[in-house]
Amino acid sequence: MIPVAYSYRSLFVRWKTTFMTATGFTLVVAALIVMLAFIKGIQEVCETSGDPENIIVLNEGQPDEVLSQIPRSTASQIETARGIMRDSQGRPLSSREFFMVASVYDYRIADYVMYPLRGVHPVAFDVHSAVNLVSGRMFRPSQSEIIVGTGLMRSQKMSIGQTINIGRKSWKVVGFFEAKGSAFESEIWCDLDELASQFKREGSYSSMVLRAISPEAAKELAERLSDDKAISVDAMTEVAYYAKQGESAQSLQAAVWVIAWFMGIGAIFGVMNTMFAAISQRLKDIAVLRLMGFMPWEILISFLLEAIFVSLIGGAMGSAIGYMINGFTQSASIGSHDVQFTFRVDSTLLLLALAFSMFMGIIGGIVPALSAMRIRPLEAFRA
Amino acid sequence: MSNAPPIVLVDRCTKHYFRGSERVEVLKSVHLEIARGDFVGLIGPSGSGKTTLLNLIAGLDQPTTGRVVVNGVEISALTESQLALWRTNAVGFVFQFFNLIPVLTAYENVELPLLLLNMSRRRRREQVMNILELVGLGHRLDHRPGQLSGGEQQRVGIARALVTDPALVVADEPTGDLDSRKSQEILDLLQELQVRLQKTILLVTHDLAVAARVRRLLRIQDGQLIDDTENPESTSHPLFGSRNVSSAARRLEEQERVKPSNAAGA
Ligand SMILES: Nc1ncnc2c1ncn2[C@@H]1O[C@H](COP(=O)(O)OP(=O)(O)O)[C@@H](O)[C@H]1O
Ligand SMILES: [Mg+2]
Repeated sequence: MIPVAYSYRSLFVRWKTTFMTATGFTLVVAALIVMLAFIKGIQEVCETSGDPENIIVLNEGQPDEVLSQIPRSTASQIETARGIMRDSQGRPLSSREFFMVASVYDYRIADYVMYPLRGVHPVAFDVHSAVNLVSGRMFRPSQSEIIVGTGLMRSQKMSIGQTINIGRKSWKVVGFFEAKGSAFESEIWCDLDELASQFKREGSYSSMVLRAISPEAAKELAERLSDDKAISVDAMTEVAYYAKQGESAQSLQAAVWVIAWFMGIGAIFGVMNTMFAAISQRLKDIAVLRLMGFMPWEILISFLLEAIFVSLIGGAMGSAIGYMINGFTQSASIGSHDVQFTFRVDSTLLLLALAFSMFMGIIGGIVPALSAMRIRPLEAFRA
Repeated sequence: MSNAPPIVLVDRCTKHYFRGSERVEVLKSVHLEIARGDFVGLIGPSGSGKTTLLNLIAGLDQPTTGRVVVNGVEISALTESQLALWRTNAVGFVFQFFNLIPVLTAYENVELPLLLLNMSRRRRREQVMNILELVGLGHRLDHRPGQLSGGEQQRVGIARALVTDPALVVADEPTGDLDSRKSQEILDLLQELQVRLQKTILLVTHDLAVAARVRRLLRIQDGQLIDDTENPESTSHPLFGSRNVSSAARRLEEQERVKPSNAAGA
């Protein structure tokens, strides 16, 4: 075989061209890593969000919580269902909730900001076991008090005691809560009746969350409620609900690859161009190698390797850049929910990106390498 | 030497090319035998067919008609990949412009042909070191061609041609890119190696001073061998050390004067 040194030293000899060509791969690989790390982060949130014992109830055919409406009477009827956990006084662990997205004018940025608002009753904190107050205190009803998820707190730089104008009222931040990184951390919670009356939505709820006695009971109950013709609701476990949201991230993956390929076309043509130029400058090398008895396929491999090296150099630089996004936290909308997710770049993703880069290198390198293989040594010498 | 079978037999070979629809006869029925261990020069004006003939003998090209037999192998009947394999083992090439691989060191350039043979790294190293010592470059192993003078590069080129221990070495104008002092040094080296390593060398040139150094001189013109002279000063021994223009070359010069239109050119 032609020494590998022949391929990589040729790259160093024209290192400027090599570097320029490699940067084409760098951009693609960095973008690919960031996009896939985004999807991975979203999927991670979706997989870890949701309590297997909880059931989300929305009105039939309406997967969007903002648009869903469950009448008060239906809510009462649902709460009599078998399988719902009850507290020591025999009350069902059922959280009736009013969810909306309010646009709030923020003077600091002179623009409107969307705040997800959830009105709840105290039972909500028993149903959503993941939700925990971490500082300040609980809101009191009818006092225009709110508590804020830590994700929203960080992104909007909120502090306890600050007031926010929502609707015609000024609300005071009295506490912050965590929810194990779930979508709730991007929300503002307050008293259900106070919020509903302010927005004239007293007659119904957006959703209900029921706590079942076990994960199995939760699945069974969700099915039973969905199938019940007397009440027009869709019910599913929280786990199933978030998994479904994660599917949209999954379908995004196909789009990401399409984008990556389109971006990759530039890199592919870049390396193709560079390799054609390199080959035309090294016709004599090729001729001498062939005269000695090296076979056409050995010439092909040697020049293909050179293209692959370029793509790997570019891919490695892109991986280094892409890796910087690792651990970076950002909020994103899943359905009508905002979630805090963390970009995840793991070794699998880095290897995948490098493999993609190499694959582009092969595609860009194969045509010039084939032409190098077909060079007739005597003609190359006469040239 | 005449009893032993020749190492090279060019048996009534012709070579035609097509330039457009016009047929160009580059070699017109060339018949030639070269004895083993001989140092043969091929001289002729530019375009006379020297390189074409050399290429047939070295297994780089096939004749249009006729046979080429080298070292008992009828190479004109081999396929292209068979020829490649044959060349690896049987021929060493020395070029006018050295044609070393610029990104490889002297050592690596010389090692290159050995990579085609099934040979251990240690044996390769032995063989490369040996031949580089022989050409006087044992101290320049790690230099790239760009860091060597023209004469040194050609020494590396000669080492590369000889490292596989081929029976036949072909050299197409090996001193064409060197000044006369360097040329003489390279010719001294070729002669020395030819004797010490018992190589058969076929050297193409259009330079009379170079032609004077060979034992047997063939003259080609318009695709035909027109003269075949043995150097009288070296009939008993292939090596002769005279740096003066030999009688063979003097005779040639006279012929050139008679036909000035055929004067050797670059
Ligand atoms: N591949 C080819 N196609 C067409 N003509 C060729 C080819 N190779 C050589 N020739 C012609 O054959 C003649 C002899 O060439 P060559 O053997 O290279 O001459 P020399 O080495 O004696 O200078 C020249 O006229 C050259 O143009
Ligand atoms: Mg020539």
